[in-house]
Amino acid sequence: MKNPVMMSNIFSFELRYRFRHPLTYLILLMLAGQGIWYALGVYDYYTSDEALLNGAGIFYQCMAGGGMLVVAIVAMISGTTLYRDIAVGSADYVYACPLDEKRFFLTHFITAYTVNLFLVAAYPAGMVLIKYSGLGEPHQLGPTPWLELIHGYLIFCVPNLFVLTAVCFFCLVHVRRISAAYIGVVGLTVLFVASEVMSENSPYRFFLEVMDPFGYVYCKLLVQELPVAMKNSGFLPMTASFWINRLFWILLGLSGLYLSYKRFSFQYFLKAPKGSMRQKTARQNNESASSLGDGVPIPDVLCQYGRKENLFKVLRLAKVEFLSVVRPASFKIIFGLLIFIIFMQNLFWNSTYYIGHQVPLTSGMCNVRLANGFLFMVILMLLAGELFYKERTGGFWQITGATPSPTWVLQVPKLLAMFAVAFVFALSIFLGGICAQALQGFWDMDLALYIGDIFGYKFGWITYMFNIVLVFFLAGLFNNRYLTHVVAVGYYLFIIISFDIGLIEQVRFGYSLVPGLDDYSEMMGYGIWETSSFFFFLMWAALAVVFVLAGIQFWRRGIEQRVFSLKRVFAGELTPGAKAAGLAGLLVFFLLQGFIVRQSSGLRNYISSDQADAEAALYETTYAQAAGTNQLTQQVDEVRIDLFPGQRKAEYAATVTLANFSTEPLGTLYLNVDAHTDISMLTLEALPLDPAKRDIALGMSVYDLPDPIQPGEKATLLIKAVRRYRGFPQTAEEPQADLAFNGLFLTEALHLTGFDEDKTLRDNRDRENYHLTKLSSRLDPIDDTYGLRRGFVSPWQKSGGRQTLNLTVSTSVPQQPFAPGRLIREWQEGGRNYAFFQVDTTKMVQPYVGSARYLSRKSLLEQVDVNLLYHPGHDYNLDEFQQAIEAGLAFINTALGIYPYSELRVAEIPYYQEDSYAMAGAIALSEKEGWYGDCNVGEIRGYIQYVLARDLIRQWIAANSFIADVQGADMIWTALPSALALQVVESRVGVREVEALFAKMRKTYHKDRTNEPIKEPPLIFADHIDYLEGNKGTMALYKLAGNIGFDRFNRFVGKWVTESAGPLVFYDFYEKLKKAGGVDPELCRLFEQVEEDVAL
Amino acid sequence: MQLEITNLNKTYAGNVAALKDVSLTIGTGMFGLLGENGAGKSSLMRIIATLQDADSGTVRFNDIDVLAEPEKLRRQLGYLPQEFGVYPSVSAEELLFHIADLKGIANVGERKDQVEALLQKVNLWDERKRKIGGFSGGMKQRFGIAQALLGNPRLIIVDEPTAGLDPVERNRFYNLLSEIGEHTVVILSTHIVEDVSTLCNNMAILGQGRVLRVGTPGELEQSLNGLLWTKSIQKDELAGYRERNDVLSSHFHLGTLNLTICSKADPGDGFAPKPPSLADTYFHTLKTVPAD
Repeated sequence: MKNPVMMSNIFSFELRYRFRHPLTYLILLMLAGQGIWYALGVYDYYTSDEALLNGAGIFYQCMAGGGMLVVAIVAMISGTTLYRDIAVGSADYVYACPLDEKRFFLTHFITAYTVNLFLVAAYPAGMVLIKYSGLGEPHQLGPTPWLELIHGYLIFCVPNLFVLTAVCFFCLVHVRRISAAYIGVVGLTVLFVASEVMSENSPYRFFLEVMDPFGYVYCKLLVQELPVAMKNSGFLPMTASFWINRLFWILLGLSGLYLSYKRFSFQYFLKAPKGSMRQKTARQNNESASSLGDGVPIPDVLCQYGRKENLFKVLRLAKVEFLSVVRPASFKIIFGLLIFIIFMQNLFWNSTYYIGHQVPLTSGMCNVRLANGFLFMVILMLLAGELFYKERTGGFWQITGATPSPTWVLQVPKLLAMFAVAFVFALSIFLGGICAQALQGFWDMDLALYIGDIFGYKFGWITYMFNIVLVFFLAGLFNNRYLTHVVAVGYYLFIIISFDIGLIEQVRFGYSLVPGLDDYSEMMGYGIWETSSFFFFLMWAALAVVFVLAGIQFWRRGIEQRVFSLKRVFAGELTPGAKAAGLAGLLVFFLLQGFIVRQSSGLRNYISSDQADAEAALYETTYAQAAGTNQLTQQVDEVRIDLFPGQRKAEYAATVTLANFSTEPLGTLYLNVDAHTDISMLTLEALPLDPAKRDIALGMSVYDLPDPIQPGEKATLLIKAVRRYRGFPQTAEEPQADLAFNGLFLTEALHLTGFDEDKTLRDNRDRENYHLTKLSSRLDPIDDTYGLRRGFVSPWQKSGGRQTLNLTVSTSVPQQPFAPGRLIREWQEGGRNYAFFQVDTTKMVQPYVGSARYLSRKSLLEQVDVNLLYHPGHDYNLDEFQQAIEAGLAFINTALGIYPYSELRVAEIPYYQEDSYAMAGAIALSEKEGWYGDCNVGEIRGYIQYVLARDLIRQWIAANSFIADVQGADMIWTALPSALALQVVESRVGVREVEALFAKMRKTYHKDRTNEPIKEPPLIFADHIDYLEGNKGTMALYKLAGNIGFDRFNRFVGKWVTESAGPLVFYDFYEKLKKAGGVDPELCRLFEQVEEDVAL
Repeated sequence: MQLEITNLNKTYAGNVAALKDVSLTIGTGMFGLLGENGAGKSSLMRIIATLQDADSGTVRFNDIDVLAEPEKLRRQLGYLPQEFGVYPSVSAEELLFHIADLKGIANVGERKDQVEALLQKVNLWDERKRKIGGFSGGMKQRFGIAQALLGNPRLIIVDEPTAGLDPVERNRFYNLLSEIGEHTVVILSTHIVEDVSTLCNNMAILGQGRVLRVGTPGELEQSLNGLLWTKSIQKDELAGYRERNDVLSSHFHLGTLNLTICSKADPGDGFAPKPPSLADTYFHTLKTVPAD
């Protein structure tokens, strides 16, 4: 007889079971918290001041992503709902009841699904709470988009939870192990992560959108391209790939559910799978009751309890503990899966490089540890928690607790075992990298980097150990397995997410973390972060020692553990010496905290973003009026710079001519001098100047001039100064690459006079927070007289006239200095390398200098002496560089005019600053701009050609004319050279590569324009924003050139640049071109309007 | 060798008193601790085994203050808990090696010899390579006995050791304990009266956290000499007899109900004198325990 009320009974019993458990409410709280954190994190990517913190797009993205917590909860709830009877042993009598087994299965599925739906509803509820959390300013919050929220829950959470629950049940029923359910969920998560990782630059967007089981990739890519208004309050558009994705995964879930339904029976499910513990337990012990053991004497033994013996014992026991972790099949499956992910990432995904690939460098292989770091760490922490509680979980604690081994002998082996497991994880990353490199025929393996990254404290093995130690401490403290798991993983999640979304900035608050770990440069290494990370390592190591000792001290054998008990502090088995060591560790930890604060914040190597914003606002309110009237042209005549890379120091002296072009006499000189620079001597017309005010925080020194500079007059300023970094930074935001140990590129040796707009808040959202007037444009209008006098390319550029700049640079051996201009002389003196450069045939003046250990390849291309200065080992693409330069020079000489320099140095620099600097006769090019790109891929060859041709054309433009610092300036400096460079790409590499570049530009433009922090201007008034000129501007000009004919366009450009009398303004160029005739009116819309439907 | 427990008290959260002023002196040989479920036996065992703190009182084993120096006692202790788990993925031999190491048997050869001997003693030699996760309840219990005997302990505490053992295994275990008990202090905690009467030369009965009776099984048996009477009755007569007599126990035997009552004088009514057993003493002691 079947029980007719079974379904409702089971359903209500399960609900009662779940909601009686305090853990359920903890989960609800955590999910709500995750809702807030994730929404904040997504919001952080939007810079538009109109984007809302509680916008619909953010909610959609959060719900599609779900987060690790959602996945973990679904696995836990779904797995245990059906398996609990087996796990607790009640299946033997429950399954014997008169139940319909199919209905039993379905009811459990519906129950699990319902509980999942209910629990996960706390996640969007958390997002709603943002409005009341106090985390956002009132103008960042709009009305809650309830309908969109419900829509997101229905189209993402409901189907995703169905698929996850169905996969869980499918795996559980077919394998009959709880671990199978977890592995099924992990498998789906891996697919999601893989789709997400690859989606950033992949051309296979449709495939990835469908492959992602959660629909996140679709949602993310679409939301990124939505206009701000749609992001804030629009329903998510559902295109074909969305429906295909949903249909595919729901069908897969339904199929899994149907197959499980068909397969499930009490008899089958109760039967233990082959080889499992359940099966073995069921086996009877059939040994005969012979008298085998009777009369066997028990031999005497000698027991030893000395410290030395205990130490050996710890190692022996650690081996046993290690084997107990790695032996179970579940570990082998999870580990195998991780190895597979690592290897595949190394082979395919990690090498993604701009629009193609890079050679499989060791640094790229090591990055896998970061891409998968979260997953690895959580798995290790969970394994550690399980191992530390293994005896309690298995009920073995009474036996081990009664043995004479001290607590540390019982617990430390587990710690060591987990260290060994973590080492195996690290080793797998190392071997995965080596294999991936070898398979690709790449043998420039950097073993030192491998060892430092993967086994060190920059999120390597040592970091794993630190976090395992944290779990060890928490296990001792709480003496509760679940609480330990929740607190350990919860803390880790909190830290990672908090750093990710900027809730916490200072790395010293993130246990086990060190600064700069994901900012490795091939040239600079970890630079100054090497020093700071070492001190962070010492600090965390001191705390880890405390954690280990406290973990031993707090660990109580036997029963009755209270979290807060003085007995646990003062009793315990630690010797007084060990307790003293613990206290000493704590003292060292706090001393190092103080030391780090002093070295970073104290020496202004770190300031918080809030403080930076506040100072930027204060700078504007303090100096905008006073210094803004300091209208001086700055002509630099003579510079001598002595670089000391090992000391991160530059000593320099410069002669600068200041000219007052205002109508008022200037009696005060405002010099922008930051905290890292000391001016040792300053004279004006040979008269020494003393600062009337030195504002270190705002970086301004104010001098009263004894003799004011009259309108139209000039005065000579002599500066001697030292720029030097002391201490070290504590976040990844301060690479201090201008004085790097290797590969420094110093652009701010000379100090700007007057008010520096670059030091002010440039986002309207930030400006509003500080009650500053919103910006209507980032550049001055095209008729602004001050802007027309000021150079866009360099503030040191002089409008009109010829000037000569002498640059003498020295650096420490074996580094080699470089600078713009003709290299007149090189020599060695006092163990230093010197070089003298002269910039004498150009209107482009940039007193920038660099220094690194370089190798050089020289050649004569198109009558220009070309010298490629490259980092040793980065000789992969030198031939390609030479061909690209030759093609670029040939294009200029034939299509535009004459390349203005007889020498060209192209020097590799670290990637922390601009991608490239086109200077007089020199280009400083970031290491990531093709030096180690994989030229077997056409797109990379196209990109190298594009970048080099663009910068050569920039040199030609800036040498021949003066680009005014007004709206449209970057159309001349970036878009025009880029559009011209595309012609070189097309002729030398191929039209396919132009299309690839176009695809990238189109994507970047569509994606980034939605984060416009002010307001997108039409191209003719473009105001220097990353996404606009270089992408839409380039494409528009290229189309325009194609429209009127490339030859005609090139001739027009050549004439306009070389024959313009005044400063170059893009608006004039555009209007003249239009007047010349032949421009398709449809194309004009591209330049004159900002429209959604303008076809690119 | 002597274990001396003096005025031991233990109260759990919620004011549940597990042990009340417990004092016992236990010498070499088998000592039986008899009591109902919840009488405080396991609490006492765990306190002696250093796995639980007492609120007050002392426990001394020879010159060791057990509560103050638990690590010293552990060097002489063999403990078989009432319920215990194992590492399921490890073989019996490996786990015994592991525990032997924890017990301080540093010499590998000695460790090996003793583990092998104990595996044979408890009849697990043929199963030594098998993972313990696949053991039956009886096999696991035998493993537990083997581990308790590792390191030649001088104080052995066994809490409900014969649970799950079949009669043959139980008999083997009795023999083993008797053999060991000749030179060590063995505390056998159980609620099976027969185990105590068969094995122990001294015993105590615990009830509601108190020591109710102490003595040899024979002495305790004899304490009811001449006071017990028995009669076979019908099941439906039991209520009437309960009203009229001090009924100690009743149990069915071959379809009839045998009643045992306690009376200083001959109760008449067909009752016959009954020689006392330890079980009678146990029931009588529990019945007379004063309520709190």
